[in-house]
Amino acid sequence: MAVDVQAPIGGPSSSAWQPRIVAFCCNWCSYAGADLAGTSRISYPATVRIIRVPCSGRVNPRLVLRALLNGADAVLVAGCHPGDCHYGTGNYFARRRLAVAGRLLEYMGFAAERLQVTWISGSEGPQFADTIRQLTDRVAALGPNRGPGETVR
Amino acid sequence: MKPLFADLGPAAAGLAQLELEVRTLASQALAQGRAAVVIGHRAAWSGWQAVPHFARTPVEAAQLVVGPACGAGLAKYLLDELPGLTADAPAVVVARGCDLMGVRRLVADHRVDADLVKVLAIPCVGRYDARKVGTAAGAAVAGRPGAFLADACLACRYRWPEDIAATDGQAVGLDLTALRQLLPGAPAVAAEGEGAFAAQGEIAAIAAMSPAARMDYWSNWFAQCIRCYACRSACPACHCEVCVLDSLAPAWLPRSTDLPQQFMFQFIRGMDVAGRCVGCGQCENACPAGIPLTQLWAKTAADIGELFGVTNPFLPGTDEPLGVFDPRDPEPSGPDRP
Repeated sequence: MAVDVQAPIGGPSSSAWQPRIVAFCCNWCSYAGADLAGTSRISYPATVRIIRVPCSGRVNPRLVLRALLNGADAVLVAGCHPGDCHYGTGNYFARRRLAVAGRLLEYMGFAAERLQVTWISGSEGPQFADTIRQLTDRVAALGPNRGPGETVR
Repeated sequence: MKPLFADLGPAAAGLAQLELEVRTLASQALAQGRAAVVIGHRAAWSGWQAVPHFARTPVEAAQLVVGPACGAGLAKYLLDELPGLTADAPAVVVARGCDLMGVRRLVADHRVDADLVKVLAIPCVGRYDARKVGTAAGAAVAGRPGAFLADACLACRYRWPEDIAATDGQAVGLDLTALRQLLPGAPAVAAEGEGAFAAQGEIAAIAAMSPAARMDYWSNWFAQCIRCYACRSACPACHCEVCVLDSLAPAWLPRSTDLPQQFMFQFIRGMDVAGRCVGCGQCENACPAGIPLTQLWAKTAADIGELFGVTNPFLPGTDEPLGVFDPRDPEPSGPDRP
């Protein structure tokens, strides 16, 4: 399902609905990679809202669920490649923590694709754009995140 | 008062003898000043309920009871008793398997000093489930011993202290043959740290549902949650001095009880306890709404075991699974996701 990135973003039942993706990007790698995609004028869907964090290890799993409960259709957590964390080990802890959190979210009824963890370095502008593009397509195919009950939007 | 063990058939005599032994040991320890307090249960206003009891004198020790009327887990009460404990006069916990694992968790977390607590490990046949007592289904099987026991207890693997390598306290040496015969098919041996509840069949059934059906399943249960936080109070892994759920600034969890907030509450508690759950089942025991919380936390523990190769995810160790890492840990998502 092709997503018209120029169209206005509507709500879940709008014919103009587009996925809304919240991306937690670590300051040192993935945020820099996103910035590089921008300065390189690489086009990627305007479906993502980037939140800069010092490290992927800062991302508390409850932030992922909070995003999903507050209108996000998917959450991306992007950090430095394992072994390259600016703080040494933050992304290792994130990897374990988010693996468990992802399984719990799935068990509670959220589609597994709504949490994605990807490692993107500061020089990987094209990879950042590809990640957003592929995630947008996957989530568009999934449909809007209805969440439990009437999700507050 | 209704005899507490009348419905337990041949196990009743064994339990009565166990109770006498516990009272004797507790009285002696208190009289000799070897214990500051003995934490157990005493009979309450109905034959089906025994409430937590804090015996500080031999007279109070004579009120201790054991058996299926004992419901609440005891480990958390150590936190209240801490100020009065010394290494010479520690707390003694009359511990069923779930209580023992709770004490282990508190000690492993350095929340309670190992010197300040001793465990008097006793076998357990399970606790009464109030929802089964007095129901038509209960009456239909009333003649069968164990008819009124909680489902989580029927699947418990912490039933016999010698099988879970109890303790630094005294083992109660009795002939417990009758107790072992109480529940046909019940596991007689538990591998240490294997977890109290064996809800694997239920977990597999839930995991096999579609995501929408799963969300409906948990939505129906979480809608029953009244946010009393009894599960938090009962959980030995939940012992933060300042709990995130009480925080108003930032308000991590608003006070409203609409469904999204219920999911948030259960998820926060689950992730904060992940890797540290000891499988005592007291959360489900304490829940006034009967939410099958063990179906959630057994799944999380199993995931941790599978993802990170932890043999016994319920066993407190020097390192918590989420407090360490391996450079070869599996990826949380993508084509390499397990």
